Amino acid sequence: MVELISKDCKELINKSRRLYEIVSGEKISNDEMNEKFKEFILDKSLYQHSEHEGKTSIGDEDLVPPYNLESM
Amino acid sequence: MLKESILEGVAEKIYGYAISIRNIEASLEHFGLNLEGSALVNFRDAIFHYQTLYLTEDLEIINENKAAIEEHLERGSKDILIYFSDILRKSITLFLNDTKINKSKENRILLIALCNDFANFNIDLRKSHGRFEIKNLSKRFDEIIIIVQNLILLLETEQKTKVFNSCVKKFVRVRPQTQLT
Repeated sequence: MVELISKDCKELINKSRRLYEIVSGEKISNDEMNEKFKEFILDKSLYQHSEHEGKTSIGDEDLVPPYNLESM
Repeated sequence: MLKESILEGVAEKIYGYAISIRNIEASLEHFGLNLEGSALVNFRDAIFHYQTLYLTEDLEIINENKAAIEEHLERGSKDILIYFSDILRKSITLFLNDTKINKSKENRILLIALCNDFANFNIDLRKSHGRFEIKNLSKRFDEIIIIVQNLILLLETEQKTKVFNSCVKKFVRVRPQTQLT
């Protein structure tokens, strides 16, 4: 699959990887990234819905969870 | 032939989306945070439309599902980038208020400027709308990489980084994640 993707898509993947590397200060190899990606894709929970519920997104209340920010 | 080329184009978009979301998830995991639900829900829904698209020969249904996939990917990527940048912006605010660490006046000003950069990034992202395009998402990554890079430079020392990371950790959800079952 990786060989079939376009230059733009490869660039996107590299940029998202770069973001992770900046945040964590760690390098990640292609193999590691692909392995993590497989885990992500194969995560059963993503496939448990057989019916589409017509939801395009979860609600705003879910996007802004109640943070534990007593100190704020 | 038309259907095949649409399938290929859409599959690449889903692939690019999924792998970049996975990398944002890894970035959040670094701070002990989970991926925000919308990115996964929209991924799941995009896959559902892909299955429908794959199985049909009706051109109208093909076009409908292609548009639906792009909408889900657009929404999911916007939501996760907004969530990620918002957490970092709020963490900078907490870090600025933390009295354990001495910050020079210049350092404080630069951190406040970064807060504004994150806020502007968020507003710009919220205001934008349209079809999901890999190039557009790439551009967003360019923008956020620069802001995050500046943040890392400003944190300078290991001690400051440690305190900042503890600020981010305060955003760990206090309730279970959205269930996808």
